[in-house]
Amino acid sequence: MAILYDQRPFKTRVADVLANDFKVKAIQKAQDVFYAKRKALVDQVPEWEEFRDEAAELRDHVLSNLDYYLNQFAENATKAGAKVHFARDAKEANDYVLQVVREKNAKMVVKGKTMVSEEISLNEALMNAGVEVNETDLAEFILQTADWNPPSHIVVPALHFARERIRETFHDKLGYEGTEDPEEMTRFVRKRIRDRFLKADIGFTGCNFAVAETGTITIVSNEGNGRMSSSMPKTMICLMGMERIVPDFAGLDVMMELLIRSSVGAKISNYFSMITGPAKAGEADGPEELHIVIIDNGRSNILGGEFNSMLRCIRCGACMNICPVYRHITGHAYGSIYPGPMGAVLTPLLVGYEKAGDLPYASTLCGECWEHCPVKIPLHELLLKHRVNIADKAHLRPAAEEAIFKTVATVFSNSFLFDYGTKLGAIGMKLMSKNGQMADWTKLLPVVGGWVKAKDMNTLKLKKFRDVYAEYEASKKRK
Amino acid sequence: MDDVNRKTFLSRVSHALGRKEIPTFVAPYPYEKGPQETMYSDLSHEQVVDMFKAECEKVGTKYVTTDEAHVVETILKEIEERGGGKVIYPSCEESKHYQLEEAFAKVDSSKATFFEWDGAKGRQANIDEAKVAEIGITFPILGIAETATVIQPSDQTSGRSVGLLPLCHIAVIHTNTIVPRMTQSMAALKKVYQDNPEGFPSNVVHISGPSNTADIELVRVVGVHGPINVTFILVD
Amino acid sequence: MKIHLFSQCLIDMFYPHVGMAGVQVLERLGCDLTVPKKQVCCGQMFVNSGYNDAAKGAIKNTIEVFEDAEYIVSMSGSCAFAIRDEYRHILADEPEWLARAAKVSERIYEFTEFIVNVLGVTDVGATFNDKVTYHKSCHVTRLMGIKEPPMKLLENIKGLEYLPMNRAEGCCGFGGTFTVKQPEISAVMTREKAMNIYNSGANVVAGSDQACLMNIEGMLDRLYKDGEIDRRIKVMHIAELLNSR
Repeated sequence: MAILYDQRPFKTRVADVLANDFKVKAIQKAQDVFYAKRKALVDQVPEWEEFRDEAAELRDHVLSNLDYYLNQFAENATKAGAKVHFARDAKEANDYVLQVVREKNAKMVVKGKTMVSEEISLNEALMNAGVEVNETDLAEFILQTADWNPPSHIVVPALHFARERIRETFHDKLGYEGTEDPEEMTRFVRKRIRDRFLKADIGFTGCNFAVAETGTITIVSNEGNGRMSSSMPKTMICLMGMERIVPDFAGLDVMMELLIRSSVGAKISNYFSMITGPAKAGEADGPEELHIVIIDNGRSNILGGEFNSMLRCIRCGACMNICPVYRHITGHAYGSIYPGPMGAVLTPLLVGYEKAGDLPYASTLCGECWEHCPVKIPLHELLLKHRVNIADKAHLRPAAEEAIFKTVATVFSNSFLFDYGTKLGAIGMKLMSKNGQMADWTKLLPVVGGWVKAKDMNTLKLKKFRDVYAEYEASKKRK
Repeated sequence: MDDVNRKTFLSRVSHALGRKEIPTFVAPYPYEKGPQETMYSDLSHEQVVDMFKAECEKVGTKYVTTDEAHVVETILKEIEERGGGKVIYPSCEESKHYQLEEAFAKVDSSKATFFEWDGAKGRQANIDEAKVAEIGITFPILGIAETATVIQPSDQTSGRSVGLLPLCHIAVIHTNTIVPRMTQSMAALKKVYQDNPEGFPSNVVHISGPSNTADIELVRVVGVHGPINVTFILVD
Repeated sequence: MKIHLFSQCLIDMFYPHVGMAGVQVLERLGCDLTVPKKQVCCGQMFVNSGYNDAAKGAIKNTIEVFEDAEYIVSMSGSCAFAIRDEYRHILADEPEWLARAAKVSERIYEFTEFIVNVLGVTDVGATFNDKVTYHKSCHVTRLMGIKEPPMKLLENIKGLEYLPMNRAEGCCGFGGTFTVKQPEISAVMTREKAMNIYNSGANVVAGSDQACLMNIEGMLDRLYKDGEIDRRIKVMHIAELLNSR
């Protein structure tokens, strides 16, 4: 899947989601569950804010020395026996992967959950090369089975599938004959994928954190897909975004304190693997060959610039677990594999404003994402920076909008124009009103129409506060 | 590693950071500023072990306690409670120390059969046994109390598969290796690395209970790709 | 204490009685009030839409009007936030204006913050006999970190029964021009907020950001009119509660 999987207009995508009650309710339930679980855990850690400060600082420390740490990581991973390859973009990454595929004459591969592989459209590249791809994270498996249905969340991407729909999909595509019981379906998948794990030529994983000092890559998972993909196949390919570095093991401690609590409201994931080089001589399992592909894909354009703090992101999903906008439009309205507040910031950086310029406006700038972000990315401020770039610098907003804003801005910067302008406005609104509120037909008007469709709107007062106060002041003086 | 490939890539990173070359030295990040090193520092070891147990209870991970003299007995009892079947166990020092081979030889083969993981037997032979095993036994090197986690390295004597492929994982851990937080376990691993970087295990996995998922309607299902049951045997 | 009142354009245009409540509360607390006639708008709505250049007119007007004030009290939290935190970013490349903006930014206070933290008053002697819930607006609560002051003020209003609502600090869906640009999303967000207010059991919802309140009021009125909720819920600025006796 590419970064953008749905390029219809934002409003169309929103309308689609709003019409899908199950999908919206599923996301709301997930938010409520994660919110309660996270809150209960965070309340038990009085040092939580100190950890956030430390994690943000640690991430910034790494980012401002990223060349040093990447170099150190590459050297130490190589020393440990891994083959490290640097890829500037999706093409370079996929070319390298396909080269390994050819060398190994690989026909079938398994994949643990990795977002960066989605970013570079790895599955498409593999399938075009005739390789059988098996997503092994349960949710990703469901989406793959449903003809690569797009994800609605980065951590739990198949929430928009009701169990009945999953059963039906499994039945139609895989001949599943069981019930829609989640446990029964999970067992079915376990059995089916187990065999793939054991026979796969290559196992793909992502990388949560890469440790510079030791050349270690780490994988977090609950289901064990990352553990299986990195243990069973003879060749392992780890894909990592170049910003995923921590200096040393102590850095893992800080990040792990925050990652899982922020992500799903648990203290720890069931599995956390630290992989340092391929299996050693004499080991009877594990990868005989370990490839680590370090991917830039636009990140060096972000590094050191006004959006630098976005590279702190550890893909925990906390921002979408709290965002009141995401809550109602789900991941699908973003049309990007990176949804929610982090996606609304990151996606335009990766694909440009022409394609994703609507996303920074999918926010009320309420700041809850920032408050929940374990690495304190000021997402609301970054969204605003995008808006300035889009509206003020690139002039990519509709011309009419810009004209309206400029006109209103002129009126609102001069008390004389404001006073008379709003008096005229008040008269105008009075003509369009009924019982002091805008009449029903005004929902057809531009600008106010959207409001009036859903909410009542009071009319402007002919006698404003300034007028009332002037009278009050005069009467006080008379006394 | 292709040097040109690395240099081209990293020069772009350096450039973004406003410099021409990779710095030769970076002052280490000052972790001592953070709260992690002092957390739980007032707890006695006993309290730390209690925290481990309490956390097991909270998250529903089964644990049983025993002492050094009764380790084998406890393992056998747990195998029985988990229904027996094919059991895979490592050929590590602890197995030898507890004379597991001898003890297992006495078990009625209709109740349980045993296979010792040993790199010398080759990849296929080991994995073929592990994949059909009901129970896998491992000896983790460290435990973390805060999260009820055990830390399991793999090597020639104890492969990744042992605690991964069977339906049930029995981990035998000495309570004196349980530390309060990942802060201490990471420091311990760092020491292992520094003492002998080449000898650092290729795979170290933190295990905090049976594999699970909530991917279908957020319903928790235990046992996806990894074990469905886990027992921690805590040895005092 | 001499203070200048920043009334906020929405209060000026739509809610004069809220402005007057603020005036009376502050005067009763001994403040010597000035309400500058030349004030209009803090410029936030342009800033939040990315039109920084267009916002400069409103911002500079605000600076000119208030730069000699000793204390500035804003009847609306989000305006106070814009003046306190955003002006310096927008005027970053105009050093002279930046210096003038700093004077205003340093002296601006949100209404409840001023009463509790500057005047040191938590009991204004008000009485209000009804069930009240409180919407904790994003800018005031989160971005300015003003969490305690409004709660303390509410606690000391005689007769007031405070009822907490679910997700009180969650966004109401106003979001400046968001409500106009994304009305469909705003509508479902505001509906959820309105239902949380309704489900709290309160008859009154209060807040200290008139923009949020206007948005919430529009939804509550509509829901009542459409028969979706069975009681009319009054929307009030906290100044109105503090001004009740």
